[in-house]
Amino acid sequence: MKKLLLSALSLTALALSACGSSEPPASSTPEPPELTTTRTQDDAPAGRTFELRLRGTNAQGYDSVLVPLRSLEVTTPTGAPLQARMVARTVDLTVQEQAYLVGQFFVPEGVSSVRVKLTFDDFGGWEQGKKAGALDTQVAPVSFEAPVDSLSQRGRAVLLLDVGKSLLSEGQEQRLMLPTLKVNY
Amino acid sequence: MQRGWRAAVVAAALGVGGAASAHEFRCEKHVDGQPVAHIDEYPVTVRFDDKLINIHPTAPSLALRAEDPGLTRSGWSFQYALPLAVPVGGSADSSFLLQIHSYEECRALAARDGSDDGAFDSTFRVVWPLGEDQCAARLVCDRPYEPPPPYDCHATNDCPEPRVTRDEGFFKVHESALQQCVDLFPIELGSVGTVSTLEQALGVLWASPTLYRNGEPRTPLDTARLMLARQVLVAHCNAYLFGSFPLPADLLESGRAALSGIQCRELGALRGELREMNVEGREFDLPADFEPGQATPAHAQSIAEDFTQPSGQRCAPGQ
Repeated sequence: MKKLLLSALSLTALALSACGSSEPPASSTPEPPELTTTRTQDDAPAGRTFELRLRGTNAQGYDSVLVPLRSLEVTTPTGAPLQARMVARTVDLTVQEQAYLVGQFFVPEGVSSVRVKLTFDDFGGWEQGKKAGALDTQVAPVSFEAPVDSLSQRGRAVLLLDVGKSLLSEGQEQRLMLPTLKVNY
Repeated sequence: MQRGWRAAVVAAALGVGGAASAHEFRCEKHVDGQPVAHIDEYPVTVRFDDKLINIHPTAPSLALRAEDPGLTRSGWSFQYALPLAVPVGGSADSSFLLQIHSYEECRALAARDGSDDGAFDSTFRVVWPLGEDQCAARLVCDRPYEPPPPYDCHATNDCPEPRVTRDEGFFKVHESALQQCVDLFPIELGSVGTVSTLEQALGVLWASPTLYRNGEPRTPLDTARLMLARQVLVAHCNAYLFGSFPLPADLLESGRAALSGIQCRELGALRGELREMNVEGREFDLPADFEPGQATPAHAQSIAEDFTQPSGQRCAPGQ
C-alpha cells in the first residue's frame, strides 16, 4: 500500500513539476529548481524531484548543432526504475547561454544514489558557415551514477557536452557525435 | 588480452582528505590511435588508450573513481589506487589491449554499449566530487573482406547496378530531396497516417520517438510504429527516387503492412532489416540527374510537423 502511495505521489510530483516546462531552454546558471518534496499523509518526506539539463560548450564556429533525444531512464544502483519524465525533444548545442531542461526524475527517500541514462535519437544536424549536414547520433547512451546527497546541493545534474571535441567528420557532409562531456551536480 | 598501464607523469595516490581539493580534469580516449577505428580483419588486437589530465592551474585534482563500463567485462581495470590525486601539469596514461577473434565477437561487443549499430563505443568515466568527465572512442566492426566472385562481370557486361541509397539522416536534412520524394505520390504509413507534404515527411523523421506532440509519453507500440515508419519512409524514397528497392522484394510492403499491427517485436525486426537496406548503398554516388539540394537541418527541423496521433492501442501480449 505504501509502495502504491509512493508511486502515485511520485507521478503526481513529476507531473506537477513538469507543468510549464515544455519550453526547453533555461538560463545556463539557473536558479535552483522548484523542488518538490512530497510528503505522505503522516507528513514524512517521501522524496524529491531533480532535473537533468544539457548544454553545449566549445561550439564556436557552429551555427547550429541539433541533437534529438530519445529517452531518459533513471534507476537505483540495483536497477529498480525510478519515475522519470523527459520534456525535451531536440536541443541546439550552440545555444551557449541556455541549458536545456532535458527532463525530471523523482527519487524516493532512502535511495542513496541514482543511475541516469540519456539516449539520443538516431540523427540530428549541424551547420557551420556554408557547410551543413546530418549529425550521426547513433551512439552509446550517456550514463552516469550520482549520489543523491551530491545532487541535492543544486537539485540537478547538468551535462556539458564539448561540441568541438565530440563532433567528428564522417565524410563530406555527415558528422558523428561521440560525446566528450562533463557532468556537474 | 593484455593490460599495460603506465604513468606518463607521476600521479600520486593520496588518501581521501589529502591535500588535493580541485577537480578539473580533461580526459582523452583513442582506439588504435584514433577517435574512430575500423577493423575488417579477424582475429585482431586493438589498443585502447586513456589519458586523464589535470587542467587545474595550481592544485592537484582528485579522481574518486575511474571506469570504463564497456571494457570492464573484457578485463579492463583501473590500475591506480583510488582516490587518485593527479598533480598540477600531470596526467595518468593507460593502455589496454583487446583481442577480437571474429566479426561476430566484434558485433557482440558492439551490442554491449546500449546501441546495437555495429560499433562499440567505449567510454572512459572519471568521477570526482560533484561531477565527472567522460570521453569516448569508437571501434567499428566491418565485415571481413570477401574476394569477388571468380568471374569478371565487366567482361560479360552483366555487372549489377549499384543499389544507391541514402539513410534517414540524409533525408532529415535535405529538404529538396525529400520534397522530390513526397511529390511523386503520397506515402502510405499504415496506421501512422499518410504523408502528402514535406512538413509531414519531416515530421515523421524529426518527431520525438517517446513524446507525442502534446508532451505526453508515447506508448511502446506507438514508439515502435514511429521508428519503423521512418525506415519505411526512407526505403520508399530510396525505391522511388533511385530505383533501389529493398531486398527481399516484399520487405518494403511488409514494413508498411506491419505499421497497422500490434506485434512490437515484428515492428522492431522489420525496422532493423529496412534500416540495413537504407544504409547499404549510401557510399554510392547519387544518380547524375538527381539534385539533392543543400542540407538545411535547422530549417528542416523548424518546419517539421508531427501529425502522428496516439493510437490508443498496445503491443500484443508477450511483446
